[in-house]
Amino acid sequence: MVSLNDKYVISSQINNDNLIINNYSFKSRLLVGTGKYRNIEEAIQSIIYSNCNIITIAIRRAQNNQVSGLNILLKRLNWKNLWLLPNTAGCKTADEAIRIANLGREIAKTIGQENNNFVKLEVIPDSKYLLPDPIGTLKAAEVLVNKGFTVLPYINADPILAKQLESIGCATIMPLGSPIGSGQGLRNISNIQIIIENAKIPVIIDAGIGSPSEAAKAMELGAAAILTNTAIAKAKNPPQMALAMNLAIKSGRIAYLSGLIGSTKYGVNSSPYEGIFTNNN
Amino acid sequence: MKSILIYINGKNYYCSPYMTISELIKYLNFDINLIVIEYNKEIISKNLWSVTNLREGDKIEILTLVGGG
Repeated sequence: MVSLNDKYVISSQINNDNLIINNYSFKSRLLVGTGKYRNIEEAIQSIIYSNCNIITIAIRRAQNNQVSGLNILLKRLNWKNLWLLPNTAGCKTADEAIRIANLGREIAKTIGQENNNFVKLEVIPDSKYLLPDPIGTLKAAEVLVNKGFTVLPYINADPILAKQLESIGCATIMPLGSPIGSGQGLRNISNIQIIIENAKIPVIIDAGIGSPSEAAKAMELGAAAILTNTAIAKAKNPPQMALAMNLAIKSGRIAYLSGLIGSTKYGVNSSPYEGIFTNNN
Repeated sequence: MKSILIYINGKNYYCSPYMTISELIKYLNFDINLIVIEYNKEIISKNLWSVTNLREGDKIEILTLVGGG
């Protein structure tokens, strides 16, 4: 009986392949958003089936006299394996984003993550395509890095901007695949490839992912992780889609580590020439 | 006792003078566990809520986390 040969499937490589963000280590390379779910149960089950370790949340004015859905969600999740990533969604300027980032850090304390200084930095003045403002993002990132935040900036797939954000101390780069919630997938693969080639920090594709195959593709290109919300929340069966996303990202990552074959212009036979037997020889 | 005008989440609100932030939160029925408060543009940590008295013109933002991507 043939047994699995450790020489080929390098378990240590695959099993110790954590995502490292600013010295914090995460087993999962799938980050999940908590918005747009039909109900709390779907949100909770999706997070569980995704096996994610990082979830994003937004900061808004509180409504009184009701236990908000998210409160229920937060109480029922297993925080042993979950890390909060507050976003600055809704902010149109650098100043607004800095203000919300500070509130996000305070919010993390209320759920017991005193050392959580992570922020997903979004500066989005554009309400049509929801594209991020590169200059506002760079300004806010600089201030927040200096205040000790672990900054995960959301940007268009601009390789120069990515390098600038890395050089001022951001912990990751988060280029969009396509507009938030659009499900258009990866619309700027060449730029994403350049960003990945140049980056020494994790590149997390964030926004526009529509399907697990797109997430797998991004991982095969060398992305460090995927952040997705709509692709799961708006699926017919979100928890099952979360499972599919989880598997796709694992698959794409292992494929990347295994060395993909690339492509050729012409066909190359898979069966040998030698010994060919036809009616003519 | 004359009531004072403060601003809560951008809206006018009249309350008793010298009410503490804790008392206000309790009175307005907010879930004290999952909110953070900005008091006159500065984040005020929870341990100061019971010892901070409201004054005329104070601006309070009561914020919480919601689902988001």
